[in-house]
Amino acid sequence: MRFIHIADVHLGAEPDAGSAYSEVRPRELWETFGKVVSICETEQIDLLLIAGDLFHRQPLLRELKEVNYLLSSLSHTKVVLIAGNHDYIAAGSYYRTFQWGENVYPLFEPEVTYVVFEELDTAVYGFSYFSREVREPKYDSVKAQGAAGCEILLAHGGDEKHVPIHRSALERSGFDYVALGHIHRQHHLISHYAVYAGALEPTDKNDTGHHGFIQGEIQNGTVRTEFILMAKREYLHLVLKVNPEMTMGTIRTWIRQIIKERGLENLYQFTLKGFRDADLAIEPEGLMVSGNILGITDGTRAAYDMNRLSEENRDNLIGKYIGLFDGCEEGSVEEQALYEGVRALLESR
Amino acid sequence: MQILELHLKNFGKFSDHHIDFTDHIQVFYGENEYGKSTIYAFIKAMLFGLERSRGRAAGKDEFSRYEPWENPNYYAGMMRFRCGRRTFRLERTFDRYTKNSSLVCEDDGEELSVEAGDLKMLLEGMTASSFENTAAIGQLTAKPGQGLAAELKNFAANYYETGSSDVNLQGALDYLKERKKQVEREQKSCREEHRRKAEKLEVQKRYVEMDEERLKTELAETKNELETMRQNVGKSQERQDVNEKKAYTQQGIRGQGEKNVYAFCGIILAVMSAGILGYSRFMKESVWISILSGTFLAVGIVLTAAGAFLKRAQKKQDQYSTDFLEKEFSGAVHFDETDSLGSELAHNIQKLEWEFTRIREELKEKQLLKSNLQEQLLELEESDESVQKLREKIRALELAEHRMKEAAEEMVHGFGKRLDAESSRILCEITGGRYSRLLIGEGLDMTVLHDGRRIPVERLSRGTLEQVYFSLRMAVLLILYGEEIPIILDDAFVFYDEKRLKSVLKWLSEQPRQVIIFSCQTREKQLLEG
Repeated sequence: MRFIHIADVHLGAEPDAGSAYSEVRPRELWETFGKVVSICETEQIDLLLIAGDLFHRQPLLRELKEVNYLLSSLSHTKVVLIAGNHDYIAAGSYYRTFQWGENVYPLFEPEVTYVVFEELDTAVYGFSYFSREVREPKYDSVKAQGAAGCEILLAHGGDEKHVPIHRSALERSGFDYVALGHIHRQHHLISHYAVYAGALEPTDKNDTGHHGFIQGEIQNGTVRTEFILMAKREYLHLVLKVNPEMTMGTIRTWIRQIIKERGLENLYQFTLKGFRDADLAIEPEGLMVSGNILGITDGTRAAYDMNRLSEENRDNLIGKYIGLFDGCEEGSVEEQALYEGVRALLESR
Repeated sequence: MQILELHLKNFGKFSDHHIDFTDHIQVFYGENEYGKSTIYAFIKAMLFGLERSRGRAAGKDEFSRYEPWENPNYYAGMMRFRCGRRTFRLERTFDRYTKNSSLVCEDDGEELSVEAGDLKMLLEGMTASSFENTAAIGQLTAKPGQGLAAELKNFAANYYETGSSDVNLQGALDYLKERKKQVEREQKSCREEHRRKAEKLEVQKRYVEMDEERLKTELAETKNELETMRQNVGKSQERQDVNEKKAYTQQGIRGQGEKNVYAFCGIILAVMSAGILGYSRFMKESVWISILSGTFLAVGIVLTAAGAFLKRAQKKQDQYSTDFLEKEFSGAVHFDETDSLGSELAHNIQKLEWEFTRIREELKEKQLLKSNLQEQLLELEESDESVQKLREKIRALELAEHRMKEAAEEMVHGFGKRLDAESSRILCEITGGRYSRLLIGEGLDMTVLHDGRRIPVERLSRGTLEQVYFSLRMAVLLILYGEEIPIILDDAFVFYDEKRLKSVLKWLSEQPRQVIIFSCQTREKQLLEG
């Protein structure tokens, strides 16, 4: 039995993709989803598992029709989906009334139910969210019922407000595979057993790292999974360590170079760290050299040697001022105040 | 510390030039261009080294200024001085390739290390800039556009609050304020951006709401239309019923269907045909007539049956339309299509029903879209890191301001008070008791006490201002560096009259520290010799 496991597609989301790509980004989420569906078709995958949050918000009817159209084009693949915390089944949700194609099997119940595919000797279990938050650890008590030779749990959540998940409970649940959604970072909660597919496309600027889906095979009770890179873009948070020799110009060139190396299609956030020339004023706006930069944070410090300054000025205000910040933590507001104050004192000399 | 000998091996215009310091007060007399500032720079370079500036600034720095006129690769000097009863010999080379220094105690030959900070220790931690600001005293020079008194006040205020003449508390606070304004501007543009996004969403939402309103009206209209149409159906049904009753009494057959005129006709047709058939039999007329009237009879019967069927269907529909407001029309009602009049009406009703369903679905879609937009707006408010960062920066700037004032207050309480007392004492001594006190009051206003009267410094003569300035600098030196550091006075007494100069030189000669005077006048020498 071969399956593809996706999660957190967030159709309908409008992720921040910089001035260059924000416009096209919502469409790209659909395109990537469409690509996965066509992979299911060409590879004749048996089962497509959608582990919640297919939609970013309450799905519109036309959106459901679009998805259903894509899914019903599958000649072989059976699709099982659940609703997550984003597309939870609200009172007026179209999920309640929508007529899906016959190869689509929604598990839209608030408690665990399952669907059996005789020809695959496979049963898929799961339940859907009926509210934004579900704090009860509902997966703790879910057990495989022995409804088929191969049993899969489709689950969404894993943090405090969204069905806390305990590894030990999952380990004892008796499933062959647990297809997880909700956490956008792809990772194995339990190696090749309980796996977060991660968001198919990164949908938030903090969704760094690779994104795609899980392709897997279950044969005679053994599971093999593989992560397939699929996302069109990646969010990168990069720290640039500047030194006092650098000017705005060199930093600009450096940023351009990095973007060229790491890919023009990707989306960047830079944090400048280290010591800059004390006279250099870094203006983040001046460094936004490319439309795929979402932001630049200046965390540099003027190349003041605080010990030397403090020693040289021990009898005057500068020394006294530095002394007031004795033992302040790195990166704290206090430290920022120290550097700002020293700069003010030195600049106004 | 007492300087004993300078040997300018190769420094600026001097080459192999020896200067011995024999007296407690050493006066260098020389006209302009004599090289006073070079000697001063040499002393400073020997004590604190001569660092090259980086980049463009290097063209104008002291290193370049005093680079030997001849043989610039030999850029060196020697200084002998006594400190704590020991005599030291300090040698330095300044040129860029052989930069070096050595410090040897002449009494016991002990080698000390300048790099390791031995010299610094002998200088009691004094640095080049504090040396310039305290031990080296020039004239009071006004900044452009500022009076001397203001300059003096500035100097005093700086010392009073910051312990240094070149640290400017007010300037630093202004700088912080300016920074804060800048960050606030950034914050504003950030909010602006945020607002633009929200506005875009609001506009979207408004459009959706307008659509929603329009759809609601359309829905109500369609509903009314449907109701009217159904009522019409009901009325004609009643009319039809009356006709049917008539037909029933006449024929004993119940007529069917409101617009089923055809059915009614069928009955008449059938009756008539039956009559003709009977008559033709009776008259023994042609077979054709019999066949024709038989056919009419058959058609009449079929039409009647159709009417009956339609009537049933109509009834069903009537019942349905009463629940119309509460329930959705699921599934169309099927009409007998053989009845064209009935089917046209049914078709109209059905079209309206479809329209109704479509509008209702669209309305629901819009409402969903509206709540999704609402959600998006809420999320927009929650998440904004950059605003967070800027807020933090403002907090940092506020903290900086607060701590700076705190530090300044401590300076006033510690250093400021002592400065007040010490400078008053010196001023009193060098003016022969004419000005008994120097007061630095609230808002750092400076006044001197003369015969029990407070006189603001603005009203003092140039000579007196210079005396106040001198007192302040001497007081600072005394407080910060004890009595070890020599004083260098560079044309400091130009504006002193004879009497003033006499008393200040008297005061200086009573000081335990070494005094070096550079002057372009011979008065000092004469007074000291005399």
